[in-house]
Amino acid sequence: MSYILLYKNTLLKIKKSLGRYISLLIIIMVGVGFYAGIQMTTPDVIKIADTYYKEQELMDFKIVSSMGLTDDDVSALKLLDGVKDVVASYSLDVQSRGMVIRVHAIEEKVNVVKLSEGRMPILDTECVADNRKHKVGDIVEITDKDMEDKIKNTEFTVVGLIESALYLAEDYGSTTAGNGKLSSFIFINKDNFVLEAYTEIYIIAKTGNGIAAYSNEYKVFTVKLDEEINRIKSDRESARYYEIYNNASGIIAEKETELNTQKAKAEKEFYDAKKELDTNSKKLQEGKKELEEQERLITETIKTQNEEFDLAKQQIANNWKEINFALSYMGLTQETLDLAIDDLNSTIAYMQMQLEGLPVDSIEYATISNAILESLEQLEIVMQLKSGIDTLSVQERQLDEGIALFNTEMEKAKKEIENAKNEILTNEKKLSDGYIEYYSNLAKFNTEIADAKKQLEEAKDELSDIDQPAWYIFNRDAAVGYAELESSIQIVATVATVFPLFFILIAMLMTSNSMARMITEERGELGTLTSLGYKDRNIVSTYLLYVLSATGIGAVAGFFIGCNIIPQVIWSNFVFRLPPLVLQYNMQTFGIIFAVTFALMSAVTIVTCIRELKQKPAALLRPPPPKHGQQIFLEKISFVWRRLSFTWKVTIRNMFRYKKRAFMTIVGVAGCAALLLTAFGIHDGISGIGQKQYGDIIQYDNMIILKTETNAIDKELKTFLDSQQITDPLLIRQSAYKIEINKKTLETYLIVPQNNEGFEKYFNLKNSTTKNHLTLNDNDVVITQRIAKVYKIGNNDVITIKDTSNNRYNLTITGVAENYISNYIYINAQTYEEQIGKQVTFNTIVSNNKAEDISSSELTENFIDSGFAINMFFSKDGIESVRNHLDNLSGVIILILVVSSILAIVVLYNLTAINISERTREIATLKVLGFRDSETNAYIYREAIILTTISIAIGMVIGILLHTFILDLIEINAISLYKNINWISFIMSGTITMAISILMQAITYFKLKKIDMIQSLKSVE
Amino acid sequence: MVPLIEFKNIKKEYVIGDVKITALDNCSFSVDKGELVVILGPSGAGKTTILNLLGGMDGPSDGQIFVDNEKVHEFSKRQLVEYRRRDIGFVFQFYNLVGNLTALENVELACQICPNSFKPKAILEQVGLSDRIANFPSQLSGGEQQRVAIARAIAKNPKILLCDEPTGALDSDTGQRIISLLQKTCKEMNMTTVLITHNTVIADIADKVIKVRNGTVKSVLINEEPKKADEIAW
Repeated sequence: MSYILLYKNTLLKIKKSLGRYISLLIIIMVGVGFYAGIQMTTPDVIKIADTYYKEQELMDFKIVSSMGLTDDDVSALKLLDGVKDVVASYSLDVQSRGMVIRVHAIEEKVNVVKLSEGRMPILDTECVADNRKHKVGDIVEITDKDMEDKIKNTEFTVVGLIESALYLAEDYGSTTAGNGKLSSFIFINKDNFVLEAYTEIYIIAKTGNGIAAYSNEYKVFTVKLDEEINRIKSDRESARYYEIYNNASGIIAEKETELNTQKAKAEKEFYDAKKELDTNSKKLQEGKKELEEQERLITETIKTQNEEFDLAKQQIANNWKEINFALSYMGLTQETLDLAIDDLNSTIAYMQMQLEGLPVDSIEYATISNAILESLEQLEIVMQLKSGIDTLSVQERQLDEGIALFNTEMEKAKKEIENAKNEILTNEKKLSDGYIEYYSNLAKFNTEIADAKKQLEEAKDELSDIDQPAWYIFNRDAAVGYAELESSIQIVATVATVFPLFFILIAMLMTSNSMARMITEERGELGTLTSLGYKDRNIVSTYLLYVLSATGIGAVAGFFIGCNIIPQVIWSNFVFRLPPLVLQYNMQTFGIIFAVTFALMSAVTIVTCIRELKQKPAALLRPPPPKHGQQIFLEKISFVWRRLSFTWKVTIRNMFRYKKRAFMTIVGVAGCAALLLTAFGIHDGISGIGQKQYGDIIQYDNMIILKTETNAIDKELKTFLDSQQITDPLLIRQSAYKIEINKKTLETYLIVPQNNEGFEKYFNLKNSTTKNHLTLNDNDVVITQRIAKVYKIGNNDVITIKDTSNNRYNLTITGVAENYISNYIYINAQTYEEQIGKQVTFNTIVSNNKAEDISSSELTENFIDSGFAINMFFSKDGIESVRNHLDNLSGVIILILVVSSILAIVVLYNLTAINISERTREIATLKVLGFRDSETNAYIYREAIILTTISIAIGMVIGILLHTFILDLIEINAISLYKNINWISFIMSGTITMAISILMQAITYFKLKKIDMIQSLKSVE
Repeated sequence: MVPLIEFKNIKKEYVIGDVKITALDNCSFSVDKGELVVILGPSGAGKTTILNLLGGMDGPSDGQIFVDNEKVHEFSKRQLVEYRRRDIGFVFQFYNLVGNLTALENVELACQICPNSFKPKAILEQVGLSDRIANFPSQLSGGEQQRVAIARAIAKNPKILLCDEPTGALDSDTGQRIISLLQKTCKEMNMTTVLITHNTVIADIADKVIKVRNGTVKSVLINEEPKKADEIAW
């Protein structure tokens, strides 16, 4: 209780020297805040990314096959160790309104979409779409043709907007369709896809919740799983090959059988038809013959009959002649005959009447009777004649009738024959038509059969040409932006390990200096307290209260402010499609920071106090022995010293006199300048790599990924290249390999140019350190710098690379080339054939293009449409995309700039404050002596400015070293950055530091002005 | 003959918070050129305030100060600086040497800002320190340090040499030697010297003794026959 006043005194002291207390607090706050904040950034970002990936069930692997994937593949993958789930799915890259979009199938277990508006599709004609490019109600239309065998619908109504963990970046990645660039994506019901095989398989690894994305555990786990997948890869590829082969050959065999059956059937039909035709023909011939016979018969009958008729007619005519003779003999004609008969009858009748009157014996009678008899005789003759005429007439008529009848009959028969003849003619025509038809059908049939056979043969040929299916195994890098996020995180993490350490070191130094200064200043009070009988530890505890309260408040405030602001600042510059940042406050980190800060500050306080308290109270009550003025080394070089103006001499000597303060200034300001330079340097490194990579190293305008591998540019391709104004094409082989040493895997491309001239033209390889030009001769193996850095290898070391089928090849390095983006190994064709043991085939063309009137996307589209290329990349786009990607890091840079500036301000403020307080008396004296304000200031300034200048110079050197160190770390962890610092960065960091220094001097100016001259009259404290 | 320094009805008030303290009131005196004047008084009498006003470190609340016919009381801050620079040589009780400068350099420090200054080396020789010019204050005794301070003040060739308890921090022998030096300088160089002290013994060497009490001049005594410094003892 007796110590209450002691502590009250401390509180009063805080109130009195609020500026010092606050600056102490701020240094700790900024130091702790920066350290904690930047330390937490990586976990914060990883946390939200990982949470997002887990919530959306982002796949761990994606397998794509050149020939599609099947349920058997799924089953095989499910059996692998470490696999939690395997989902086969579909996606198609399609054209829609001139853009290429990717159509995914909605899955429930993997790559789940995050609905931000609307609802999920119910109908197959509905879709959910990227919320950046679509609105609910939009219609997405697939404009490609011939989609029937791929997808059911080609028009989808957007019913919901989504985000997908497959698209984490601002861009959408590349595609082999259209202009080569994906512009959006939609998800549709899986039923919509009618493809024969799955287009992709997603694998969810059994990593469990404990393993976070981007962690080492995750990498180890997935590398192992990757190996597992690779292990079954070739089996599955073969299985798929045989499946396709068997399937196709089955179809061919079936087709062949069908053809043969059809052929046989058709041949039988043709045979039957022929037979029928022939039968008909024969029948027709017979009928014709018969008809001819009949005709002959009729003609004959007519002839015979007519002869008979003529005979009968002759007879009748003869009879008529006899009758007519008899008649004429009697003087009669046929016409008069009836009259004669009537006369005779009437004569007879008359005579008979006469007779009746006459006696019977009368002559008369007798005469009459004789006359009657005679007449009767006559009558009888006449009657006979008449009867003869009648008979003959009848006969004649009958004959005529018979002739007529006969003629009619004959006519009829003739007509019939005529008809029969016509009929035969018709049938003959029909028959010949039948034959014509038959023969044409036969010819057609034969052609058809030949065609079918040819098709079958072709199919058989194709069968033998079926490519071995190739699996492409992607990890999460297939999610656009996943890898970029990782490299950004890695860079932040690297910066986080180095920067704050440096920073906290400076902060600690500053604080301890400031504390030591305070305790020294108050030695009189210490002496008083000691002489009053306070124990050392009581006195120390008052200072601990002062220091630790500032430390405590500073550390707590710093921790929470830092953890709050810094991740957000860095995050706000990250352009990734991720949920908002969730801040974390890691209490363990806080505990460590707090403990370390407390321990350090306590140590500084205790050590300083004890150093003072070791002296006797009486000694403490006297002022500290003044610093001895002394000659400095420079004075010995008298020709220099003599030339210096008086004030310069004072300044220089002062600097050497207060070595500790000068040292502190140099540490603080040089540290600030070094941090600034490093920050600017990293920024230079970032902004420089695009230009460096695609402007200096890579000299070609574009890269065309060919659809099929080739040995040379054939005429057709050449013509097309010319038509697109592509100049100086160079074929290269670009294939992916993995380098794996000590469990650290690095992806690399093996580049094999077709010829050396083209290579020299397009690849400006320079030694990464000496910058000497590198050539590619036989047996040369040039690797790029990051490979060398990561594995710490160089010339004459052997590097083992592994292709996608896990074949290993050893190459002896002959050169390390400067490179920033991706990793490459360059060898020439001869080396390739020797080392890889295969004839080299080329899959890529690098070239320049003259065309200025055609846009990149048009050119790409032309190439993809032509069927020669699957995609095309432009170096100028490369520069742009690198810049976009690395803009993510501007937050870190800004942060370092701001925090370094704050550091510089606080350090300089502190030091100037100390400087002034230590020299108040001196300054007051100068004023009394009649120094003008400007002269007084200059007296102080000059020293500060010189110190700042020296500090900046030292800071530049430290900065270069720190920059190199950090860039090396970044190179190992993430990406090669351009190591040269732009001269502007030197100027900028120097200027900022100097500006801060001048700003602090301006503040000092007012402090100096305030110094009362009366101070000079007082006794020394 | 017009006096070199003339204080006319000087009033000086300090306002500290709500309290108004009158340090000087109706204070008048004059000093002729070449005179050695001692301002004598106990602490709190207003000596230091007179020194401040005369030294151009502060301005009066009321009244007039003439130095060499110039109206010092009307001077702006800037003019005061020039006044201090040109006309005043100041000797502090605690010497106030710049510890980081050699004896010579401390003198040079003052000389470099004055156009009519003497040669620093000559002045140091004059104060008897010719063999210590390269020494730093910490290597000098108190008396030697005060000599350097005096040298620094007179090297400027000021109109007035102002000394604030110049012997206050010294033992009596050394103090006597310093007083002697001051007297000698005053007479040899005809330099008007104003010496402020509470030590009545020192008053005997003055041409004029101005006694100050409670913020006003109590008496002005003119010594027709001032003692030599080595004749006094305390």
